[in-house]
Amino acid sequence: MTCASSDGWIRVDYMGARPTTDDGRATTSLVPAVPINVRNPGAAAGSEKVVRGRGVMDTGANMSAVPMWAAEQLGIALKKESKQVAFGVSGTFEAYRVRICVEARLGSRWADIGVIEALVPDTEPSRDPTSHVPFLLGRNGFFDKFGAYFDEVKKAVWLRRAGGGPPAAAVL
Amino acid sequence: MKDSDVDKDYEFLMSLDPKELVRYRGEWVAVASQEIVAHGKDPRRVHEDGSKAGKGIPFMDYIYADPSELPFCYGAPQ
Repeated sequence: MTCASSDGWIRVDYMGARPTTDDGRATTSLVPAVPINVRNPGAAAGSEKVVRGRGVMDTGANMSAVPMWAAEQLGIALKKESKQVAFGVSGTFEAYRVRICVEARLGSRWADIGVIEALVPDTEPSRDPTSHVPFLLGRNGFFDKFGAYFDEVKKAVWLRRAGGGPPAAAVL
Repeated sequence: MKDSDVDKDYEFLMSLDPKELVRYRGEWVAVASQEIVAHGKDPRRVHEDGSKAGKGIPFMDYIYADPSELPFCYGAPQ
């Protein structure tokens, strides 16, 4: 369920992931993520590709991240000069700094997040064509546009375009 | 490319019978117009095939083979 309140906050329920065992049993784990459309802002008109997937909302990440397979599908140039050292939970790694155009499914509509900077990790899991490194939505470019309230009990995030106070539901 | 209803595509994926889902274990799936239009190990190929299926923009998702593979889930799944 997703809904918008009268004070502009939009409730976005966590998305389910369904790992499945050999014998056909599936469990559902809930992850703070939203469907996203990612485009290459530098693509020539008429040749624009879209990658649609789930963007994991990660308030601990300075930057958003795009897996290498998606950057390649979008025709994003991975230039040597755009490479930088990044820091993550697994230590330091090299990454390409790129620009992507993002829409996020917030409630029942697509919200235009705009053109944002993101990192394409140049790591073995990211390069591996069989990898499943997720899209990350980080603070720079995503959370700097919103107030955000995570309700881990209800498995939902409340988002509102920047400005104003916390959601009424959050006032105890 | 025409659009596919992402909310319905996601609901379709979540409602798949586990016995059906197990076929895609450890693979990427492309879902469009409430169908799995492509699947496989290589997300590049799955995305390309899914985009060519003519069912709308495919929603790409990975079917985890094990709960411990879930991103940022350190410990038991809920």
